[in-house]
Amino acid sequence: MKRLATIVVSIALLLVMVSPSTFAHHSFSAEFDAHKPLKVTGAVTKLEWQNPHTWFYVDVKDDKGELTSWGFELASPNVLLRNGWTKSTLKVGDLVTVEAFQAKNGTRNANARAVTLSATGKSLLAGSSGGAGNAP
Amino acid sequence: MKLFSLVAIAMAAAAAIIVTQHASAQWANVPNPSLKRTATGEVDLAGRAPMKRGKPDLSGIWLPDREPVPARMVTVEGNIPFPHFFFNFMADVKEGDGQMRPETAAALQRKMALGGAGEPAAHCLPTGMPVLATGILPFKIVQAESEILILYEENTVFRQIFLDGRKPVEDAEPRWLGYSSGKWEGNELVVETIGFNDRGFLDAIGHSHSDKLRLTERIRRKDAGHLETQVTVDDPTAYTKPIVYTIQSTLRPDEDLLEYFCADNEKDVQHFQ
Repeated sequence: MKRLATIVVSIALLLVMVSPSTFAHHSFSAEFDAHKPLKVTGAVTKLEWQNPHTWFYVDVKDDKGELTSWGFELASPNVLLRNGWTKSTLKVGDLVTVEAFQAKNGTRNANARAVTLSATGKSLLAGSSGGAGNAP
Repeated sequence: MKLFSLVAIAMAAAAAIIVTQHASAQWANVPNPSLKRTATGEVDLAGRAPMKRGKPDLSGIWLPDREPVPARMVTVEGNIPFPHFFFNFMADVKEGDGQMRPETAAALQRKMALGGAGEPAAHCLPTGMPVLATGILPFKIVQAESEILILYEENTVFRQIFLDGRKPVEDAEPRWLGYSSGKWEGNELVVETIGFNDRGFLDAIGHSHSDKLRLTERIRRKDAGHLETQVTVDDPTAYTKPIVYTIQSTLRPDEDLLEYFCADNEKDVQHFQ
């Protein structure tokens, strides 16, 4: 009985860690690290409006003034479309500030949690965040 | 900041985008003429369920209902709604209900320790049954006289539910989504599915099943806009008793399904650690 109780408790503790928050496609924790937040500003160089995830790439200037490319994962285009996005919502050349969580494997990839267009200050993800309840 | 909070933030951030679904769709809101509407043009979701050949017509685009996630997942951005059984099909299991057998529990722990890297969907393989029906993308039911098709947007997969009384296939080749046959009991469609492989997940956290799984779905269109599916997971190899729960879905009038081909731009697996 003690063994069963241990198993149940362990599962309860692990539950949050493995929830597939990024999307049904894969679990957040399989790829990204909640301990490694990232906030960068730069110009969008490429947009991949494809399943299972939309990716976009940003050139970020480092401390030495050199450009490095970061890749950011968003939800599926199917999900973004139903949240008011189109494939031209984020365009190559747009200056953006991205808040994200970095990949566990140390590559320059991250899961975007908020994207703000520098030109307008518009937050591209905020319009779809909490409070919408069960709205269709 | 505590680990829990960090993870919760991460969840919120990533999940936030899936919360709202605008009425817009790819077909520019072409009104479905078969649906009754109010004077203002809205579909009357509480109206009577449409009938077809003397039976309720289950046809339509449906989306599983969402609710705030359990308390331990509450995030700094507020409650992020998700379908109730998406994470855990045993969410409402009570003492005395079916439980995992020890080997099933051990397998779940192993999967969870991998952080979800082993889930079939992450490798562009089908999301299992019945979690497919508790996901965050819609599904479409097409009702014909001798069969009913369910088209799932996620991974662009389909199920064929035969209503012609055919017998179960002997020594059936195991399938991800099994072999489904259905019959009407009054206004309820009862679907029995067997012949699964043992690789599918029952939910997002990775509860497993054996190839002896028998899945029963009792599907009822309560009214024009609401579909209720009572699911029974009967797998004595993996669980001590059958586990029963009910999924609620709501009609998405005037919408349609979109394409979803996972291999189009899959690049997560190479980043897994």
